Amino acid sequence: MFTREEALAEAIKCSGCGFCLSVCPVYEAVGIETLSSRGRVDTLRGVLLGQLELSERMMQILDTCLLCRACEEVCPPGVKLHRVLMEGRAKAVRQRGLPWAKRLAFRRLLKDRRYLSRALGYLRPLLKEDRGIPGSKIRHLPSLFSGIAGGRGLPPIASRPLRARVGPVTAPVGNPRGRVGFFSGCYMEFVETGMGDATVGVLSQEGFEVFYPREQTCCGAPALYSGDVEDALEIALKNARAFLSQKLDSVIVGCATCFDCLKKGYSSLSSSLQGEEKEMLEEFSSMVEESSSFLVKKGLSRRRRLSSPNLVTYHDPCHLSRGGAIVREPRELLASIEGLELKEMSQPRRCCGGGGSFGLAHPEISIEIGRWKVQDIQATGAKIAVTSCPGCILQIQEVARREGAEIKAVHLMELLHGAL
Amino acid sequence: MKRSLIKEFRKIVGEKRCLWTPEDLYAYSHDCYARGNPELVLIVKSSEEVSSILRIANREGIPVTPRGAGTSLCGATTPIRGGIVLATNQMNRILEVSQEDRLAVVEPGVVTLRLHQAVESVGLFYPPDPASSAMSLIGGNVATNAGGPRCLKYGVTRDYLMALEVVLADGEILRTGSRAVKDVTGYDLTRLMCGSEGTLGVITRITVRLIPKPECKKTILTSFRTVEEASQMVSMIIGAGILPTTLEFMDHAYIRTVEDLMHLGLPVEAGAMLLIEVDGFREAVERQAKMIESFCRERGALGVQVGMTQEESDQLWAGRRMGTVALMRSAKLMISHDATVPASKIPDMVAHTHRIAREADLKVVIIGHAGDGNMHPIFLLDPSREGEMDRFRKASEELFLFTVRCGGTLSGEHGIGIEKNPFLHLQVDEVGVRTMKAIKAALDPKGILNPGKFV
Ligand SMILES: Cc1cc2nc3c(=O)[nH]c(=O)nc-3n(C[C@H](O)[C@H](O)[C@H](O)COP(=O)(O)OP(=O)(O)OC[C@H]3O[C@@H](n4cnc5c(N)ncnc54)[C@H](O)[C@@H]3O)c2cc1C
Ligand code: SF4
Ligand code: SF4
Repeated sequence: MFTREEALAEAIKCSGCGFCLSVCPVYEAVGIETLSSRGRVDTLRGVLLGQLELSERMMQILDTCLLCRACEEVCPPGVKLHRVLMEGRAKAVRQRGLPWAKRLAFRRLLKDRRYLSRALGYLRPLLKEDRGIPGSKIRHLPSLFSGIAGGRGLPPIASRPLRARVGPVTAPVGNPRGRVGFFSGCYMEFVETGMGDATVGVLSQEGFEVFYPREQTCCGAPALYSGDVEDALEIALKNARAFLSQKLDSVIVGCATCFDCLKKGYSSLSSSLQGEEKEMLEEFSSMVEESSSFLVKKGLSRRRRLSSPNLVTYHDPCHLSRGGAIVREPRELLASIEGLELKEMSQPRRCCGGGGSFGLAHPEISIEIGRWKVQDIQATGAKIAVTSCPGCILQIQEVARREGAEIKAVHLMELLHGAL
Repeated sequence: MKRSLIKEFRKIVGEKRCLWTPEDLYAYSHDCYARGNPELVLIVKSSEEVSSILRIANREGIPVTPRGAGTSLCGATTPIRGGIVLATNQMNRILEVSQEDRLAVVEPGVVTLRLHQAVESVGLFYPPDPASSAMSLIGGNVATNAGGPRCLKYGVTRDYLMALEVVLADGEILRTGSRAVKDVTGYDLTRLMCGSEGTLGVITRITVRLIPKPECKKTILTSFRTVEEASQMVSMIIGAGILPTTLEFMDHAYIRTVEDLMHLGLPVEAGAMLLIEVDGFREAVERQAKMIESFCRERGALGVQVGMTQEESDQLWAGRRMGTVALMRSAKLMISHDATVPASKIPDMVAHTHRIAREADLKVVIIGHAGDGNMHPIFLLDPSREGEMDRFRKASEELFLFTVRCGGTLSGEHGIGIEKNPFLHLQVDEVGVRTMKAIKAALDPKGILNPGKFV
């Protein structure tokens, strides 16, 4: 990952100008500089220079970042906050062991069943479950929780995981245009399986044979973003092996966070490897494509239309619009659907506040940030918010429900799939 | 600080807004210039809280440094004597925007840009636009009398203040000014507070005057072979009685930096560039733009570019605002001066700055809100180089002497803070200092408000 030197090189670039304060959603929600982008860079620099320790407060500073990277986008000297932060988290794991992130997540989620569904995806890799044998362990999870949580109910996990519904190979419809791998990710695999169906479905509609290897596991983002480099590496290699055993044009991902992890995360992870493993991880990472951008590159072969005209708005997941710079492509796909009108919200690229396990550990902050997003969506008059990340979808749905807002969040691939 | 005192303060603001872990103190210890060592951070939400806090602090003689967004460039926000940092960012309500009375009433923690947006959405305009407006707070702007590019035509923060609520050192609440555009009742305490850098009181409510929003604006970009030519052009434009909204000067190095940041296709070969904006009624804007265009062409501009799209000019301005900090990409330390001279002296000032920097073996980049003579020589420093900081101090002194000699001032907008405190005597004589000291002593006899700054 990033070395102490790399992290420090980033941190000392900070001039304290504060431009990032204008976009850090956490700062806007909490109004405390210590938990702002500038505060994070500053205090982490303090840690790297040995002026501050990895105290409890420091853990909160590390933990309350969404890693949305909005701050990096406006930073004039170009401080890459995530490098500093990830090194901070990795250092915390080295010094204090892993549990802090998990502990927090557990504590929260056991208290509130709404977070359980989201939690599942993030817990699996932390529990070091093997996604290769679904069923047995996953069934244990709810019972484990229901016991501790005082019987407050089970997470709405899909009754059948995606792999029970989609076969290892899906044939193309019409003229074959190539062979791709499908990386499902935990949400599509266990929670929102319909999005997985739809992504495979669109690829097949578009003439691609879809290979869906069973050996794949979670992308490892929860481990990686918690600073648990060791486990993240293990997971990464496992995924690379699962896909490289076949001849594929690309590996398609429908989840923004997984995409960011497989693309950027793995390539930085590979720097700590050598030889064959390093090459393998780099090769895999280079094959990864986000679903909408892949489809735009290849060009849609079929025309799609909505049965009745509809107004939608599009939310840019942080991990696409920043990490991968995919902003134009989803809009192009939307524009290609007949009967669909896109009305932009005022700040489509502002974080929804989901931020992976962030929502579990800091529900108040997360919901506050989500509320702005929902209001922004409502202001467009659209009843449907389209996006490309199941994590954002869950967050938007949940906050909308709380706020009593009548909006629905859907995955772009679901929309495309249904519009044929 | 004694435990019992912390408890007393905590009672006022509650647990969540009373911070004293080493990390919190670290995060609140600095502005863009220097770092201090506060003992306690209190985040306030009302004038009453501020008043209760100051009452205790005054009783105990504890230093209190008000804080906005901490974007000061001169150490004004740095708590150099310890004590309390009083953060105002959560006092962030816009209480009123009145179209009838053309004014807005706000709390000090409102971000400048938010005020801009709020008043512009109802067709009004608040002109002061420091380059930090995306994050600076209006309270900080008032306390530093912030300026910005548009001040050439519209004036600075001071010119838009109508009334203030200020909590004095002993906790008493002072109300200055009124909602009337004209007001000569008593001393002008509003203007006294403006620019006082937190040394005379804590500003807790601000009434600003607004003007109608100009119908349209236009950006003109002109480039020149040399900095001399560009700086002469500035003097000529002002001398010819043309009054653009902004007249920004950027030298070669700055153009390069903005281009690398934003990729706008700027004339990177030019020695210097002037970024000019005109605003007003459409017809007037067209005419003014043409006038400036031909004026610059006739007088030897390398290139003149008019008719940018709104997006292009927004990008260009964003580049202008961020460029200064982006210089940090190529420097370990960056200090931006804001010495200001009468417009006719700008060519001299530019030539002088270059000479001083050359002689002191220092790197300097020059930009400026040139129209009003407010130049920003930005020094790019490497403190690890032998004697560099000493040479920088000497160069600064020489520069300040020059500005004062030609009728200018040490600081046009950034303020004095701790950076320019040692040089204050160059401009303010003994009588001036005595007067300032008397004012300070009258309002803050124990000297608890932002001590170590100014006087
Ligand atoms: C990138 C950048 C560009 C800048 N461009 C400009 C520019 O174009 N023009 C310009 O004038 N300045 C500029 N500045 C300087 C700075 O932004 C301004 O001085 C700004 O007004 C400070 O606002 P702040 O909220 O950050 O105040 P702070 O830095 O937090 O405080 C500044 C001073 O005001 C006092 N203060 C703050 N709030 C209160 C209050 N409520 N009551 C009493 N005292 C208070 C503080 O004690 C301190 O002395 C720039 C700074 C940066 C980093
Ligand atoms: S924008 Fe960049 S340089 Fe400025 S305070 Fe934030 S991290 Fe530091
Ligand atoms: S990544 Fe997002 S949440 Fe984290 S500091 Fe930057 S802007 Fe704030």
